[in-house]
Amino acid sequence: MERKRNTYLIVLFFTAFVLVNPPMITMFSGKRLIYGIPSLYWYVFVVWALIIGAVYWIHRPGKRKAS
Amino acid sequence: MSLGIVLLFLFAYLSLLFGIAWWTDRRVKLGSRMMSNPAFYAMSLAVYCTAWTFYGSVGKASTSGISFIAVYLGPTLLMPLMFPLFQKVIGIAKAQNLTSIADFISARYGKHAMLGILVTLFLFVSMVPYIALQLKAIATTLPMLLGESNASAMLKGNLQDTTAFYTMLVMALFSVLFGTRNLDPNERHDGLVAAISFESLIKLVAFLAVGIFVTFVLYKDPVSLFQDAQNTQSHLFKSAGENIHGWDWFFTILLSAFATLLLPRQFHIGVVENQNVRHVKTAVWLYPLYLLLINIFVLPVAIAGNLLFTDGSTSADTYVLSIPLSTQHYWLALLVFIGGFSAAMSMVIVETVAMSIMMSNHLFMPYLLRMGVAKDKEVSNLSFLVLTARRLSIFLVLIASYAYYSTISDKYTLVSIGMISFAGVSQLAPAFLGGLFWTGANRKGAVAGIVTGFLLWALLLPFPLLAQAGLLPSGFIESGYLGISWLQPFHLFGMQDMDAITNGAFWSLLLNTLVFVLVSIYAQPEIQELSQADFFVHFKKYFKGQHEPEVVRREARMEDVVYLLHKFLGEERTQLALRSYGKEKGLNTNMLVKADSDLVNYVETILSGALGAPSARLVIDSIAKSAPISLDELVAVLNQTQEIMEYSKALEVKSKQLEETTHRLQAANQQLLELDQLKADFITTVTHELRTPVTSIKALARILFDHPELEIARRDQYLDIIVQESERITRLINQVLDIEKIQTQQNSNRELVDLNELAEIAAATVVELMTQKEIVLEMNLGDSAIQVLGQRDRIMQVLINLLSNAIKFCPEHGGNIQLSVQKQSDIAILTVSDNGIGIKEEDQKKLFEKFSQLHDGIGGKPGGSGLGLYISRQIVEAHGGRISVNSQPGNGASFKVEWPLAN
Repeated sequence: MERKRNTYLIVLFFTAFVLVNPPMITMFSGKRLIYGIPSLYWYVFVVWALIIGAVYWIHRPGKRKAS
Repeated sequence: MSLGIVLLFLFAYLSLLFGIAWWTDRRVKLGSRMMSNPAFYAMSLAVYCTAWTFYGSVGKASTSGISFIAVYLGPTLLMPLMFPLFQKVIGIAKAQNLTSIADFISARYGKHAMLGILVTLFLFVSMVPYIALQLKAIATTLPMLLGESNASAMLKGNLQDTTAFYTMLVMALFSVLFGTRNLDPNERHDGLVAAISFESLIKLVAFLAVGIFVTFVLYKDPVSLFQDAQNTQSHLFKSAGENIHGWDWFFTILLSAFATLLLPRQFHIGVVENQNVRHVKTAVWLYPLYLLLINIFVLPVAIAGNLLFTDGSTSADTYVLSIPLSTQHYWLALLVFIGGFSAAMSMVIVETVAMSIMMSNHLFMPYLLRMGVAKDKEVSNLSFLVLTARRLSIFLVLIASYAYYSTISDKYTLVSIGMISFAGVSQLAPAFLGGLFWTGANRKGAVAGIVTGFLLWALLLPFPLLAQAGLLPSGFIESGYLGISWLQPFHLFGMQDMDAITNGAFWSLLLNTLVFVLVSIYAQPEIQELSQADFFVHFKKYFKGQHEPEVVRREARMEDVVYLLHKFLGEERTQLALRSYGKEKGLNTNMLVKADSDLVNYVETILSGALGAPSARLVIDSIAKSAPISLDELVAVLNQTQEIMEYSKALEVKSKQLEETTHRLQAANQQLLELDQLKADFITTVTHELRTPVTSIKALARILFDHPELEIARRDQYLDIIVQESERITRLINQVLDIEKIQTQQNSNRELVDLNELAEIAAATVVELMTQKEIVLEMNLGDSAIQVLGQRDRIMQVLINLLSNAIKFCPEHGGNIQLSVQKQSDIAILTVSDNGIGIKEEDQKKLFEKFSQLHDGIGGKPGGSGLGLYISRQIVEAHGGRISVNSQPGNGASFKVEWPLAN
């Protein structure tokens, strides 16, 4: 259980690391606007929110109590 | 806005904070569990967001777009690893009662005073500018709120200094009141944490308020704001790797992640003030969510500020406050100011409290105790002494920060000072992380690494910046240290294209880590370090020990360990085992006096191989604990165990041998069974062959007996058949007896036999049969005598057998038999050929076996026992010869017998 969770966490760490660093992040660079918001702005904040969501999901309380 | 109103609100706000802190302390003292809510923990971690976040992020975003966000992505990236890491760190800190980052590091490396002093001093140097930065933020923003246009430049300068001074005093007062009110053994300050959490909430609300105002009130929506900026400020929409160097971005993330772990205030809130490790599980998502929210409006505010203040007279670092002021939204401006004040205050308070714990524990108290001050005092006075040291430390830190502020801090932007402090505190990362995961890390390595890192950091970051500010001669920035061009502080070893922070962080962290690792490998650790190293790195096994009481920390005298190993492994293997352990751990086991629990476990594992796990455990327990059984007794018992093990090993060998024997016996038995089967077949066949003639004899005899009136001719015919059948039986019995004889008396009665002569006699014997069937016999004998050594009668038997076989298969008329005896070098060759029906190829193989009679469907069953050729082969082979057949169906058969010639 704990080992599985730690595996998820490590995978999440590396995925997040790649997503927010160059060269990945440069793909969304530029003055293009999506719904009026710069694409880079969208990208960074959506990725950020997804990381938070994933961290929450992995540590979500109900699952741990059951074990 | 008048000073009176601002001071009134500020005073009210401060009173609220004092009230919250006081009320919380009181509630907790009365037994309330309000602080066990993980939200307090997560919110107080947001002390990470200082005035730098509140004002400086917008300043940075106004020139380089989204690159400000790296400072918050660092902590976010750390969050997935946070819980496993903090489970360990908090567990260790609670178990050993470690109350600061300096305490933690010095405990890991043998609780050595020197390392604690070193870390404390370096942190003091790194943190003072950072605290000064907070004073500066408040000192710059308060006069703006009051309306700087009304004040003269001179007055403004004075007002700033006065603000900074009083701010410092207020913060010192708060820190002293809630950080050093009494001496808590766990260094927990519930009131302080509650107040900090509240401040985190206020700064978030304030920033969201100004963000929403700018984005949705000043501009109708973010779309119109970004569209306005799209053409004039599109460089702000570019990512790292384009508008700033990719490595600058990466290093900002790295440094901010390290800072989240190692900043004194972060360690204090995250580890020391932690009530329950499970709170970390909430913090890992709530804290980055906080960071996301407080940053979401930074870029819109920065862009709006750039659009509003085009003349460049307004510092981008103050846009957050300038925008509501310039649009006459004074209440919003006041809220923003209080938010900024909260951000600065929470940071200063926690940082100074954390620093004061370090300074009193690592600088003052060891000194005072060594001076003998404590000896003649009572316990209550000692705690008063500690608190006094704390209070003094708080004032010392704040006065140093104020001094730093009033001398140079107006020369920098907010962000650059913060990043320099981050780079400074990151120098603890190799020793901290290495100490948590690598048992080989030792104190000498840690000290060497930290000193190297901090020296390089000082030379590459604060010194050149101080020089740029005009406080030091600045020539070395261009010409390099000592006039060596590749020692330029901003381009060390000629490194280009990176900013000063990245350059400084890269070189200092690289050499720091390298020195730390290399010295750790080459230097000998001290004995007291080893158990701590094991405790920190393998914390889990100690942690689990709480639930499994039998897993205890075991230590033993090295002498006993060696005695045991000698006893059970012998001299040579003992040395080998200890040497390999020493090699792995980087220590000399011969020098050890005490075997730590790691070594004891290792020895147990080794002994398990020789004694079995339960016995090994028993042995180890006898030396690792004060055992009720003496060591000698136990050894005696275990010697028996060892004997039993050897005995059982010997049994194992025996049983293996038995198994092999059984296999061989099985094979022999199989052979016997086959032979038995053959014998049974043989008897079945023989009896069958006997029964046929006996049956006919019996039948005919009965006819003769029952019918005496039978005619003579018929009677004679019957009697003739009886005689023939009797002869057949006699023949069969003789042949069976022959086989027995051939097999038993192979080498007796040998004499010289002339095959020519024998052939003539044999031909004469069968000539009557041949004339009956009109068979022509051609003899082809050798010129001289062809002699072989053997039994005359037997060889004759072979010849007659072959000839009578030939006669048997020859046709009734026109039969032809050739008998030849030849000599070929030293071999005599005898052939008997006929022109009979021949033998099929598959039958040729079976021809010389017992009872093989050929059925061809033409001649029916030929007369004979089926033993003739078998007996012939036995005889020929008994004489060292060979018999073979060559035949094609319908073309007759040719039997060839080869014998070695006699001499």
